[in-house]
Amino acid sequence: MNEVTQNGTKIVTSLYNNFKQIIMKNKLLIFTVTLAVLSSCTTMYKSGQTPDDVYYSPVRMVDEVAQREDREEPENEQANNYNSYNNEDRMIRMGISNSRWRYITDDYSYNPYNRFYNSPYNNNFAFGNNHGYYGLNNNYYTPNYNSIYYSDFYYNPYYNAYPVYYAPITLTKPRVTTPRQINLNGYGTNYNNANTPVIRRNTPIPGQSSRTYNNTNKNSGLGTILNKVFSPAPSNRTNNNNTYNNNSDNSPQRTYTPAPANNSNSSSGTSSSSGSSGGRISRPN
Amino acid sequence: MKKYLFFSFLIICFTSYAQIPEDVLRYSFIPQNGTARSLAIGGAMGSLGGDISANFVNPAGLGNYKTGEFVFTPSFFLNSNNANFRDTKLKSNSNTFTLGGPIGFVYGTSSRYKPGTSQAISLAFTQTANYNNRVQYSGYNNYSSYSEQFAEQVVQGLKNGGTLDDIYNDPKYAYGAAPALYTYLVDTFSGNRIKALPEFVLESGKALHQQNTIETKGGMYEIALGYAVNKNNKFMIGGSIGIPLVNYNSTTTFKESDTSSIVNNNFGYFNYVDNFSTKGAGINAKIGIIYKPTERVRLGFAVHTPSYMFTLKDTRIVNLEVNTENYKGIRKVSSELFTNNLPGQSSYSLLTPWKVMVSGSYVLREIENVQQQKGFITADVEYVKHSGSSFYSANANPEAGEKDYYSSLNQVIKDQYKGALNVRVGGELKFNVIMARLGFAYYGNPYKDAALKANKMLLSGGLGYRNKGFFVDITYVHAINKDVNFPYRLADKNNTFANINNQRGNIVASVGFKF
Repeated sequence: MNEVTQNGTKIVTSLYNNFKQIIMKNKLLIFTVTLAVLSSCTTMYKSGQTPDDVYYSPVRMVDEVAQREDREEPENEQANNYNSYNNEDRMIRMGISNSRWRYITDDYSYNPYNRFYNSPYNNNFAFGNNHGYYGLNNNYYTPNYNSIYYSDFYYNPYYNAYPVYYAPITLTKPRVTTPRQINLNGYGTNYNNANTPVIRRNTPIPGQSSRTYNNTNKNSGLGTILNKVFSPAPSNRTNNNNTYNNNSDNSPQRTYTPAPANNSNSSSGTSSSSGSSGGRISRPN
Repeated sequence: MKKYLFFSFLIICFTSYAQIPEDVLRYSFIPQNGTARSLAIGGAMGSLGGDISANFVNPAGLGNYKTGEFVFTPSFFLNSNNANFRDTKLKSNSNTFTLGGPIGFVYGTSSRYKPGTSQAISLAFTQTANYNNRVQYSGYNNYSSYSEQFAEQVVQGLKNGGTLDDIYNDPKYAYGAAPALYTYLVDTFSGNRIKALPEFVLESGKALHQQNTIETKGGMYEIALGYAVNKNNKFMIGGSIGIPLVNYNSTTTFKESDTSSIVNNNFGYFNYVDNFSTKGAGINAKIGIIYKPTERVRLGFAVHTPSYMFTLKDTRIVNLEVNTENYKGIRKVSSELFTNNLPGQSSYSLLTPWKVMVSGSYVLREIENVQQQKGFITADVEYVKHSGSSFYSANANPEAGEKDYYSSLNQVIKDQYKGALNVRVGGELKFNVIMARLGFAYYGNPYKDAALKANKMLLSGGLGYRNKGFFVDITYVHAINKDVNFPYRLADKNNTFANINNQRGNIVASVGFKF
């Protein structure tokens, strides 16, 4: 996925998703072809024993001289390649000197990017824009595509001889890189894995009405963990009192210092949001 | 425009530090994966070689190849989980099909101009961890509430004169304090107290019913390019470069409800659904040697460097539904409200621990005639320092708070986890073209605290057939896994956790062709 930021807006292209869809659709075909190709490779051991490389792997010689000979190309083939490269170089040079040579292909096949055809991507005449554009009625974005009018006679580092195709894009708002964090003081505390002896409820726990509850930390190794001192991770770690009592008197009292009066937004029993502006989120009553 | 400017301001101002210590075990507390043959012998491939799994265990084992082969390994997982949470037991199941083991090729060759020397190259892709699972546990709790962690966060957020509005508008609190305040699950009360409404249920001496369902999907994968040299069938040395890829998705649904039939005690229930994913890639390397002091005996040594997962990206959306009865009724909110109507993201890097392995095998016999190959026994001992994992910011210039968080996080990882010994043993009996195998593997407890019991034990058995340039291996691996799960963490109270006993069946088949 490509993300481009422009004017504070992220543009997300889905090239990866398109590729993934193609792979998914053709998975069975790819699998079958692979299997067929590889099956044909096994002719070497169709007769005789099949080596088991865990125990012993028979030597298979590779003649390096023969390999080197194989690598050497015939002279006429080299010449053909040279001519081929030479022609290509010449076409590039001609294209650089004059734009009308740029879109000539050998086979005259349809080229959707060719400006001589009525192509949906060919907007360079209409817009004549050096810096890309957002089309009002299409989803294609070409940030560095240049009109031929502005690029023929001046050096332009972003100039592309052929337009670059960009996958369909969607416009998204800036993404907030919110953290997934945890209060690290919660590590190293002791454990409470059993309920207090009596659960005062109005409805019984099914099948457990006669249960007696063990109030000790059954994973603590005879209470030695009660005094266990963990090496503090954050500097402000506070050790708890290591009790296993459900008495509310022992529950931690979580309090705060109110903000100055003109900035406070909380009150006893209920809370109300302060007057916020500029897109700030407030809590509904 | 103002809105965009405001959120741009948020992006600049708010650090993207993230992650929790438990994340590291997803990358290090995982059994060795491999071909069906490798798994059938407990994964003990460290000194054996001659199997494509060597790419991921000891690349020197590729040196055993002087032929070529292609192999692929589909597998099917059957999960059964038994959880014990505050003395309440619950069972859950989850099955999944996967292209689990290695798929790839090995090409070995010798040169007539260098007698006694051969070399092999291999390219393979495998799943190194399978995250597909579903764990559920539930129980009564009259000691603490899940929502108290949000109350703790609110206290933190109101420090230094902050307001509730500051919390709603700080993406740092988008997954806990902000939704909890927004839905009145947590509120302010007289005496400048912050309380979660379920606390009043606990204070009245009644219990809460808690249920946690964790559905995980995806896996960790690795592409490895391995190369090994064999000198006189006596000494082999090899290495591989790996590209680990991770795709992890989890949906954690925590439900907490009032067990009383009182409908006006200001708390009925809440459902907290956490959709989380991690995606990314990294790089690692493995090097190893195998030495054959005498015929039939092989000794191996391998080192796996940490995987440097440099492109990890988390995506997270939380949904909270709360019924506070007469207090504020039923309220719902998504974390996206606090993250610009988009899933929250954070990017970071992770360094997984080093791994060192010694191994030995006795092979009867190392001879070309297949009919005289009778079998082998093999064993690996591996050491993994789980506490060696560490997270890093993805920002080139992390802010002070961000650096502090990662520093504290890495310290907690060091405090919570330890090094563990893993042992793998296995053997094979060979009857010409048919093979029978058994294996065992044990992966030690990564937690430093002895109160937290965790280990993995794998029992395996399988059959193999190899003839006419074709081979197929079928293996069944039965894994008995123990672990713990903390549904939430409180800093000012004792914490509760569930003991998870997972039994995982894994049917693996490897099919290969020699060339």
